[in-house]
This record gives sequence, C-alpha cells and structure tokens, in this order.
Amino acid sequence: MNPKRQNTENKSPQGIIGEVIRGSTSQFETQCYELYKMPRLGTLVVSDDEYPIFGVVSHSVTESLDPTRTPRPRGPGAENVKSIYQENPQLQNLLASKFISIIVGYIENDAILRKLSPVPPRILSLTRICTESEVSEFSSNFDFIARLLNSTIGSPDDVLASFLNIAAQLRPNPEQYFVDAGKEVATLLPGQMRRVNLILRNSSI
Amino acid sequence: MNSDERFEQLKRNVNTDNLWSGVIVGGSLSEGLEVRLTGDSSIEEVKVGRLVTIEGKSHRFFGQVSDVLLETSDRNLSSHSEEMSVGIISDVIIGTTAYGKIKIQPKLSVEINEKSKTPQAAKTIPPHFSKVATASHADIELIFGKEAPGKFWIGSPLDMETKLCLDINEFTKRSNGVFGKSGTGKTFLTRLLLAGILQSGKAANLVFDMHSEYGWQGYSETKNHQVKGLKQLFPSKVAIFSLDEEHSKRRGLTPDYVVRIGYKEVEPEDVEILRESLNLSSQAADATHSLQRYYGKNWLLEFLNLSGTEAFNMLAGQINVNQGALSALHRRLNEFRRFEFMDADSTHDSVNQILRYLDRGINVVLEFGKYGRDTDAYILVANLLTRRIYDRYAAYKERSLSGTGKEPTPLVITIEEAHKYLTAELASQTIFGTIAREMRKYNVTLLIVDQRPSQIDEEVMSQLGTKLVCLLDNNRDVDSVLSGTSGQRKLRSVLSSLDSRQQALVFGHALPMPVEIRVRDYGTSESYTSLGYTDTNKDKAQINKDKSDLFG
Amino acid sequence: MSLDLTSTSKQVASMATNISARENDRIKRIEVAKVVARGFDTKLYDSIRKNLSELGRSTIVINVAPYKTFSIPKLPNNLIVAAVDGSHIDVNRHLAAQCFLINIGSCLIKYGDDAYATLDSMPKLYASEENMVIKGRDNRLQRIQGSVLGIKRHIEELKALAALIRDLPKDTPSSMFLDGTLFPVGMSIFPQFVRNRFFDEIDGTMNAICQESQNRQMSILAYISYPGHSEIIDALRLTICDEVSGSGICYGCIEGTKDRDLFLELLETGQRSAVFVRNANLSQSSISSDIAFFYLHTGNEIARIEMPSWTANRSDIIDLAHASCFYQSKKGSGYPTVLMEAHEQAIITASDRDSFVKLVELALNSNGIITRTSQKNISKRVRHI
Repeated sequence: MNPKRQNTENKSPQGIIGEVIRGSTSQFETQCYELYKMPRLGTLVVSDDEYPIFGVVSHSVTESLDPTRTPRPRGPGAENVKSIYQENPQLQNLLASKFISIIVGYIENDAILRKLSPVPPRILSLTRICTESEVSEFSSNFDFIARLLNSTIGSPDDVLASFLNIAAQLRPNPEQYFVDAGKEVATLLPGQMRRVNLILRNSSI
Repeated sequence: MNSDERFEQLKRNVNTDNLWSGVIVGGSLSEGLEVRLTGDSSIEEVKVGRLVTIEGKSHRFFGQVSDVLLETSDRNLSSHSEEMSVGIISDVIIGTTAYGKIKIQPKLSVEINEKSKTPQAAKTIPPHFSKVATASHADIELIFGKEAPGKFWIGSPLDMETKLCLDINEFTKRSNGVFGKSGTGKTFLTRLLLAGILQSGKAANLVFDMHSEYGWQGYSETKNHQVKGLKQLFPSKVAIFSLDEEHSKRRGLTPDYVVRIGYKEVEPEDVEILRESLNLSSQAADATHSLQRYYGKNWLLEFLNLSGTEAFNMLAGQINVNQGALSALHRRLNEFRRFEFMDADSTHDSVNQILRYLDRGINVVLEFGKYGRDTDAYILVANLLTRRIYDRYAAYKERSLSGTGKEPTPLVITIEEAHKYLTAELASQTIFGTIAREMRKYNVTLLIVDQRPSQIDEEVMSQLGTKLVCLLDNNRDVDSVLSGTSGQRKLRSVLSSLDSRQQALVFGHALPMPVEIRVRDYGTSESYTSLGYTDTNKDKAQINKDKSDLFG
Repeated sequence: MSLDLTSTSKQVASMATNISARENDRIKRIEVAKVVARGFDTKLYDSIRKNLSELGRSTIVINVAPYKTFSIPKLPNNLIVAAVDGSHIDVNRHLAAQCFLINIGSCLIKYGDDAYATLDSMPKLYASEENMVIKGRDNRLQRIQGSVLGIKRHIEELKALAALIRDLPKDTPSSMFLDGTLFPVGMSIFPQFVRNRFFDEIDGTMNAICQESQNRQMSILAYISYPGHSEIIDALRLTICDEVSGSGICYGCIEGTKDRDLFLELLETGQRSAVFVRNANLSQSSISSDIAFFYLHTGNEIARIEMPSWTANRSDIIDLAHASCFYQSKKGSGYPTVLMEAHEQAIITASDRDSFVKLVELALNSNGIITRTSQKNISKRVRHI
C-alpha cells in the first residue's frame, strides 16, 4: 500500500520514463516516474529485460494509487489546474500515471523480431522511449500494422494513426510512407475503406 | 482475403521488364482467365488484343487480352467515391482495394521443356498465381513463325515491332475474306496479301479490280499520293488486262490485253446472277433459259434486237413466258448495250488469254476502268469469266487426277463488293458460291474483299478459311464475320477497339491464333523494297553512269 | 447472520424520537450559555478558581473571556505541515503466536517553493516478552493489550512525531499535527506502576519535543474533530451556579451543553477562541500533562486544538497553529488534509489483518513450528453451514 516516494528532482537518464508493473503475453503496463509524464499515444517504447521488448503506447491513464480513494473535485475557484497541484503536493504521491503498451516485437541476438516475445517483460523492468533511429528501423516493416489493428486495448485505429504519424515524420518522403502503409492497412481491412481513410487522415502531419 | 495476401507476396517476385505484368487469379478456359495486375502496372497500359504469355507449371500458354476491367473488393467504394478519390487514400486504394483486372483468352500452349515443339491449341489452363507478361519477340516468332518462304509478313502485333507472319500455304488452301468499313484499309491489306501470294509462288492471282487499284497503281488518301500496284512491284509477274482501254491509256498504261465480251458468250446463268441488281423477277430471270432454247447461242443479241410489242407478244406466246416479264427482261438486258466491251463479234478469246498467263504463273489483274462504278458490269464480267475459267480448271484437274495432265496452278480469284451478288438468295446460283463451297476441289479459291459481310451468304462466310477484319461498326457485320469462331465474345471487344486505319483482326486457318495487328506499311519506298522491289530505273541510270565512267 | 437491521432500526428510531423531544430544550440551554459567556467576568472567575484550588479542585485557566474571538492570521507561503497517526493489531489469543503490531503512518507536505509531499508508514511488531508486558517493582505484570495497547500506541505516535521533527529543516515554519487529544486519556483505571511507566515515556518524549522545537517556528497540536468536551461550559457554570461552585450537584440551566455548541454560536468561520490552559495537577505544572487549548470554527464545525503548555504564551506559535489548522481543514474539505493522509498511511484493513495472520503462520511453519489455532478461529475462516 505504500506509494513510491516521488522525487521530482530526479530526471531519469536516456529516456527512461518508468517501470513495468504488469506484464502479459500481448501487453505490458508501465507506471511513470513522474505524474502526467507518459509518452504520447503511438510512441514506440522498449522495456529493457533479457529480451528487450518493443511496445506501442496504446492506452494511458492517471488514477489514484489506492482504488478505494477517488479524487475529490476542488471547485472552480483555482486559477488553473497547475495551481491546484502546487497547493496540494500530496497529490503527486496519491496519483500515478500509467500506460499500457501493445507488444509488437522483441530483440534476440541483436535482431529485431516482429512477433510476440516468448515471455512478457518482468515486473520492474525499466521502460524507455525508443530513439529516432530505432523507430525508423522498426517502422520500415509493416508487420506491426496487423498487430496494432487486432489489439483489444483502447482504440486501435487511433493508436495506429499516431504511430504512423510519428514514423512518417522521420522519413524524407512522408507522403510515400503513408501510401505504402495505407496499402497494407487497406489489405487488412477489406471492405472498410472509410475506416482506412479515417486512419490516414488522422495520421497526416 | 487469403488470395490477396498471397498476391501481395507474389507481386514482389514478378518481372517488371515488360510494360505490365500480372498473375492469374481465376477464370476458365471457356470464359477466359482472370488476371490481377501487379501493383506497379497501370491499367491504362493494357490494351485489348495484346498478345500475352503465361508461365504455368509445366506449360507455357499464349493468349490475348480480351477485356480490361476495374474491380473493387469493397462494394461500398462507389458510394464513397468522392471521399476516396482525394488525397493519399486514392493512391492507397488503387492497386489494393480498387484494382485492374484483365481477361485473357488462352489460345495456345507449349510444354516448357520441349524447345522444338510448336504451340498447340490450349486444352487446359495454367494454375493460380501463374505469372502473366506481355509476349516478347521470341514468343511471337515461336507462335507465328519467322519470316521465310511460306511465311508472309503481314504486320506486327500492337505495340510491338516484331514481324508477324501468315502461313501462305494454309492461306491459299481455302477461300479467304478481307472485311472492313470503307476507308479502313482493306485495299492496302489486300495488296499485301496478293503480293504475298505472288511471292510465295503457291498460287496465281486473278484480280477483278473494280476501282483499278491493284494493277498499276492505287491512291492513298492519308498520304495523298499514288502507291505502286502489283505490276510496278513485280513487272515480270503481273499482266494488266483492261475492260476500258481508254481509261488505261489515259493513265499512261498499255494493258497487256483488252478484254471484250461477245454477246454470244453470255449465257442465261450469267444473267441469273444479275437478277437482284437488274431487279428481275424470278419469272423474268427464268425466261432467259427459254430464250436460249428458242434462239440458240445468239439468244441475247437476237432478243435484244427484237422490237415492237407485237414481236414481244408473239415471242411470249411461243416460249410460254409472261409478256410483261419478258418486256421487263428486255428492258433490263438492254442495259448491256451500254457496255462498250460487249460486241457482236464472237472471236474474243479473253478466257484463253487469261488462262495462258495463269498457266505461266503470271498474275492477271483485270482493270474495269469506268465500268468499275457499274455494279452490273462488274458482276457480269467477273461471273462470266470465272465460270469459264472454273470449268477449264475442273477439266484440268480431272485430267491430272486421271494421270493425263499436270495439276493446274492454284488460282486465287479476288472479288469485291461480294455482298451485292453473293447474297443468301444468289449464292447457290453463282459460280462464286460454288467455288467457296467446294473449297479447293479444283485448285480455285476466292479472296473476298467486302464492307457488308452480313449480307453475304452465311454458308459462304463459313467456308472462308482465314478472315482479315478491319474496323466494322455494324453489329450484324460483326456477327457475321465472327460467327462460328471460338471465343467470339472476346474477339468482339478486340474488334470494336481497332483503329480506323491500318489495324486488323486476323484469324483463321492461316494463323495459330487470332491476333490484332498493325498492318504492314505499304506505300513507302522501304515498304516496296521489303517486298522485293528494286528500282530498275535507278539501276539503269547507275549502269549508264558506270559505263560513262569506264568508257568515257 | 449479520446484524438484524430491522430490529436495530426500530431501536434507533425510538432513540431519535427521544432526542428530538429534547432538542428544543437543548437549544434553549445553548442560548443561555451564550448569554453567560457574553457576560463573563474573568476576575470573578479567577477568584472562584482560586477558592476551588484551595479545596483541591483543579479548573481551567481562563485569562481571556470566552466570548473573545481572534481572526484568522496569514499563513506563511513556505510552510511544512506534518502529521502522525497510528493503528494497531491487538494481541489475538486465537493466534498461534502472541504478538501485537503498531503501524504508524506519517505525512509531510511542504508548501510554497519546491513543494513536495512524503507519505510513509512504519509497522512495528512487538513479540518479545519485554515488549509485551509492563513490569512493576514487585513483579506485577501488565500485559499490553486492549486499552493498554491503545495508550501504548498513542505514546508511540508522540515518539514518532518527535522523530519527524528532528529531520525537519530549521528555517521553515512548520506545524505538526496529531489526531485526537494531545495526551492519552483514561489511564486512571490502570495500576499505578503502569501509569508511572507511561508517564515516564510521555515525559521523555515531550521533553525531546520541547527541545527540538526551541529556536524553531513550530507549532505542535492535536486536532479534535467534533469535540465532546464541556470544560468551558463547566467553567461558565461555576460563575452562575452556587451549587456547582459549592459541592452540590447542579441540575441547572446549561448542563448538558457542549463547548462546541457554545462556540458555534460565538465564532465565525476562521475565528478561534481565546487560549485556555488545563493543568493536570494543582501542585505542579508539567509539560507532559498540561495542555493549552482553543476552539476553532473550521467553516464546517468547531474543532478543539490542544497544544503543549509551553506554547500558551507564544502568540506567533498560536497563530501558526490557528492558521494551519484552518487552512488544512479547508484544503481537506472539513478535515485537515495532512491528518487524513497520515491516517491513510496508518490504516490496517481487514484484508491486511488476514494477511498478517497468514504471514505469522507462514513464518512459524517455515521455522518448523506447527501452528495450532483455536477452533473458533478456524470457524471464522471457513464460514460453513
């Protein structure tokens, strides 16, 4: 029941943003060190373990650490939300930001394998945001698209759109990337062209 | 869609050297194979009629594109077409959800491992995902043969430069037809065929040249200049006969023979064929037989010289023919008097003259001059001469069969505007109908050049071995030309997509499979040279020059 | 079977009827008390008090009239508030091992620049003989359990507060909170040696606290919500009722009212009453038993704030306590946030208790001890038909 002591001065090195608090075959949940500092939807993250495991951020939540205690509205008097946190520092201790990542691959023998890892990441493994070159390499193969679309967490379409948006921006010709990815999506969603179009529109830069 | 995913996989392996390529995704032998275009290919590059090869597991197949379609795997696409046609989504959709499909009619197949075999008619189809590519030069030569004696180059497949060859031997074994609307290039095509037949030496040509286009020279509308006729190209092999000497002379020609027909030579059968064009009732037409019986050999002149109602009535009574019919007959037959080539002299020997040339293997072109515009004259003369020549050939043939004479040189008779006299009603009565039906019984075949094939007798059409069809726009004409051919529906779409000039659909015995061609050029100096023409004037000038150089 | 709510509700209903019948009367009494308060004469009271002290009775020191009100002072921008709370698992005779657990929860919040909060809990298991009994001189034993354990726990809370104070930065004003009364109550039923022992511990701790809080701007307070005290009422009664000031029993006019009722009438939101002092002993004053206290209108209720006696004359400390109580209460929507969080840290839930039991059994088993527990306990676990 003891919440982790939150020390806001400590900025974690190399993009490490939290630790795994729950891991299963298809997903893992990370609790962030800092409140509200979860990575944006669609971010490629990796949990460092025996096999580093890649995940795509699909669902984030900030909630009370103790499920029996819910936040109490403070009323409209405050200047802004930030000032409420300033005036109630204990909120940092009582709330936690967490996010769920869909597992899309792992590294074995220095090679990226785009399938489910044999075992989920261990609890308390460090979760790190992937570098641009890692994202670029990972997103060059479209196998992840099927995995993201078939996920039952959150809204798969929005997650995919966000991921594509991030990946496309790393490329010299983003338009071409959208077309290529779009074709893959279209193949996976036969008869749902409006859905495909919506995904593409939402992913545009 | 499982096949879709596999298809995606295969796309990455397909050869992209050709204009377009695809893989087989369905279809049947009877309805045609369905091909899904590979992602990079644009549907606009696919043309109906294009020859293609399909790599099966153990056989290679050859066919042609018979239809081009657009399909979509999403039924709702059209209702959202506005949304889908803008932006990235349209690039995404084209090639995946919305894609081009081709229908291919497989025609021939050859075992992959057998290098030497010639392609046979396809009796089965390649399996799913077989690769489809546009046919290459080597493929065309494999199917149609290389240019050689007996293989005449008539043109090239669309979008290719390869020489596509007609089997002249097979061609001359049967009667054939050249069809197309006026102005679509039938004449050019016919000239080429005649040249080919001439070159092959397998047969001699007798051309009833309605508009004086084949003999000395013809006219090209597009190029706006004269083109050489057979005589210019093959001076020693062609003789020009003329029905209208003045006409020939005006053009600076001296015909090798001027044809004249004696009234005595005209027989009732010669009049029969003119029944429709002379608008004779069957009664009137039959009356000619009675007249001949009555008057004897010179019946025509005698009959024409008759005058006065009394004489008619008397005659009518005597031969038991309706008077009205008789007078109608008289009126019509009087038209013959216009024909200056007809006279009362019986010493004409046109038939023999013709035969003399033909025997020597020299082709005869009969120019009609001003009579070309007169359908009656054309029908009369062509029919009359042909009947007699045919009889002679029949006699030759029988003699050779019994061992007492040699085989007559095979003869190809070229006739135009056959729809006016080879109709269903008349075909049975004319010599041309007989020739067509009897195939090459007596070594005589027809080459029909016509623009209204629907009016030609069905049976005659069915006897034609090879058909070369330029653009036709009348449905019935198209039907008649394609009737009895396998894969009619597909050929229809090919036919309707022909250019209005210099393109033809060629199919029949002289070819292993139907093919759409761009007709070989005729009219340029290169085209003449390719047919074997040498400019003797130039040679002469060269010789003179050489002489002067040498001897001063 | 669980509680028979039908039968219970009937009894509750009748109680409510009774209460409401007395309500009018109560209101009247409060009105009278208010009047008396307004007419309070400190000099008069003081003489009464002195008389009573000669008779051996101890009374509240009232130097400023109860009707006096004090407005809410400003709270410093940079401020530390901290609270300590505790809970315990009592000795369970059905359990295989005899022990008890005290869980101390603490919460520290820094406001202002570099704001942060620290939440913590420290469980301590008492299992050894020495830890679990209080020994008297003549080998008398008092097992620490039940209400004794309650006292023990209160004292542990004070000790924890002292430890918390030690680690605080000296230059930041701080306000330390306890829940309930400053000192444990109800010790009179215990034998002397037990009371002595407890008093020694309290004394040691209070001295330490007093030491630490010198040279600091620090207020130490115990916050009592909905206090049931009537000390000021009793003092008022002394001024109006001879019988009370004498030795008789007064059936009088304001008996039954509570201090909170009175001050609800006297105070506005944010205001406090004057500071009163209660000396435990007539003869000697002790920082370990005397308290200074005042009542505060939090906006939602009247709270009673008890503070160590050495702060009574320190107006700055009082102000700090006043302001921090009020604003903490406001932040916590009626109850001080810092106390609430300390309480949350201290809570031992029912499932925690079960886990504790299992933990004990597991540990014993792994050490080769076969755990036998009572049938009663077993029947509690598997509730069978």
